[in-house]
Amino acid sequence: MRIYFASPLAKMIGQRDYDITVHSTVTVEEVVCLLSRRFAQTQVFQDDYPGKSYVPNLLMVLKNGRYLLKPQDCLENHDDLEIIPPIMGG
Amino acid sequence: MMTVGGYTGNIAYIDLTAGHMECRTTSEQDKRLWLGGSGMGAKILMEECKIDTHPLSPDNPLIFMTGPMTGTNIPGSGRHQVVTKSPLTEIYGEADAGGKWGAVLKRAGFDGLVFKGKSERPAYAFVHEKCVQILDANFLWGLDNYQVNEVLQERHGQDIAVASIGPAGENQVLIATILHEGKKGRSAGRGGLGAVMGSKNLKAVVVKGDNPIAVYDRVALQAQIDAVTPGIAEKTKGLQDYGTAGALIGSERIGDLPVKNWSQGTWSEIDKISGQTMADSIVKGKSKCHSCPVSCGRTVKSESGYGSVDGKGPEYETLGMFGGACMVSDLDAIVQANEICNRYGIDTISSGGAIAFLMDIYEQGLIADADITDVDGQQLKPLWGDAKAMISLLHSIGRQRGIGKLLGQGVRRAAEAIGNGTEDYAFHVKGLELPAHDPRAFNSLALGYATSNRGACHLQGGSYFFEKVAILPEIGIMEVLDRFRADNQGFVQACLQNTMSVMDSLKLCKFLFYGGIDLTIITGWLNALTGFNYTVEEVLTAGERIFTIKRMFNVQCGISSLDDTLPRRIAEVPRPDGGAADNLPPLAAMLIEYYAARGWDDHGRPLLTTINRLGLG
Repeated sequence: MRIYFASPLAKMIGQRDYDITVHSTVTVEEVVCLLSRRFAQTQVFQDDYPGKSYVPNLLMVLKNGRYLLKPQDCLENHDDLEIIPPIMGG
Repeated sequence: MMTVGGYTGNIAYIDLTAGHMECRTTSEQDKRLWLGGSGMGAKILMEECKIDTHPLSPDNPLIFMTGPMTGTNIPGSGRHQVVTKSPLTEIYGEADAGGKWGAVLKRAGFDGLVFKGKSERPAYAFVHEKCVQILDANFLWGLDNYQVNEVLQERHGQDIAVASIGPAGENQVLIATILHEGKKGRSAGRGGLGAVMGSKNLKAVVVKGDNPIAVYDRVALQAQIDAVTPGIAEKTKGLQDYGTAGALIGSERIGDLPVKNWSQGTWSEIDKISGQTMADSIVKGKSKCHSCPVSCGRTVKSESGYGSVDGKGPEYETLGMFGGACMVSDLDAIVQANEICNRYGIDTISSGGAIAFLMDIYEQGLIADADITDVDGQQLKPLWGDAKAMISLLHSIGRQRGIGKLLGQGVRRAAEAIGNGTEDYAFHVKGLELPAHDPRAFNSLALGYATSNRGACHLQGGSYFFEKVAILPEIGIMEVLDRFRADNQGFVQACLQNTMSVMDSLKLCKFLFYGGIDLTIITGWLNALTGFNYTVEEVLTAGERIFTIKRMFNVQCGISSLDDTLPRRIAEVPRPDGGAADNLPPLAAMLIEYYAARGWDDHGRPLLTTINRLGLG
């Protein structure tokens, strides 16, 4: 599963994308938890994690360039994700 | 008779022609049925505005209304409504503004002000201690909004709040705004309400007051507020950190941004103007409305070749229109454009839409080069992304010179005047330019734009909130909705429009829904504040009544299902790329379901049974 980070997340993390392999179905929440551990230095993840439930209004997850996901939505290994910074406002 | 908290009970009717004021008392029944704000304003407009009244004639009432929650310590209650017949759309017009002006008006002794007639000479109103004085404003005429605020603060003290028009309102530009509190830049922006104020020779409305606002059960209300305020703060962290502009990157990624006059689904320059970039470069502080735990406003400091700005920064909509729609990626230029609009009193959404329209038809060769002139009569070449041309065009709109005379009338009239097929590049519904959210990214927005009572508006239904992050259990939205769904759109849209009518009437910020606030919490606040015993159902019925009376006003103005539509290129032309590529909203099917859910006939007219059920017969 390839995970893209929208700007300015990419700048904060230091990379534009990140690959993970999942062998069964995982939820969005589980993927974001994994990212929060992998990129523990990134404040935006720490705002949500660890020990807190997924707060979808801090991050938005887009699947395959189109579908906005909810925390319990399921993902397969072949899905592409994009993690997008706050979407509130406007 | 019980004392109803939240209201002063007084509305001042000011005849500017005669220089006379009458204070009318609001009945308990009207408070209960119409709530205040938008609801009360709509009721008054229906009573006071004859259907053939020209919007810029003395007979058109200009109504400033607070809601019962305005000025209290309820979160997000620093708002008020301005209602009139819009000169831009020639149908029901209203706009909402934040800040403290509404709170100070109520503390001056009034729930609302209704201006009719026309002053013989430039005038301003001074509202203080349940009295309205009409004073000479010759010395203010010609000043911009920031200057007016400064001069009036010198005259009346720093504790006043000023609503004013700039040169655009004086010139009766049809996309003119009413600005509140000078450099704080709180705009009643949409529909050209500033032109109505200008047509009355009314330069400003100054309010001053510190009387307490009655609360029915102060202890209970405070307990309810305390119980939810930490949650609002936690859930709106994105807004707190980056302001409304923080949504720009996400908006571009999901295909929501109106890139290149609504023709592209992506824009690689978006990072340059995002809220995150603003935070790293020009932001120097936050600003907020009265009693707000979020602080989504931004103050900025910008020095560039476009000039210096030290004050209010641009919001999402401004960045979306000047940035996305016009493809200007120079943040300093957009900051300057925002400043120019505030000073002249020009709607950034409509002017951004008008400039994008001009850039588009210029590229298509549909307008003669000689017809595009600036303030000084010099020829302009409005190319995509040309920041200098954009700023020059804003000056020409504000001063009504050159091509600005045409653009200041909005895109519908501009396209009608130019002809040559340019209507296809004019993005509006019922004459109001589309805000910076593409309805091809949210099917519900398509229905919302088509049926909003003031023309294309993202906030009269606010449906996209609930397709990104928010839920609203009382109307059955238990989880975030799919933005491309086709089913059940009519019922949900009607429920959300009723809900937003309630918010516009109580005068609460709709961002509260991002903070997890729901209708049960709001109804609890309302009961503790007023002493009424509303149920959520009754509150929603009030919202339905309010939405419906506006539609009845519009039907009398000639609006029908034929007007509940979208620009052709939105309805029929999908975008080739981006997060909403290839999607076209199924508007016709959604409308059929919507009319049924509303209790309207096939022509979009409220049925007699609906009118009677809502007590509007």
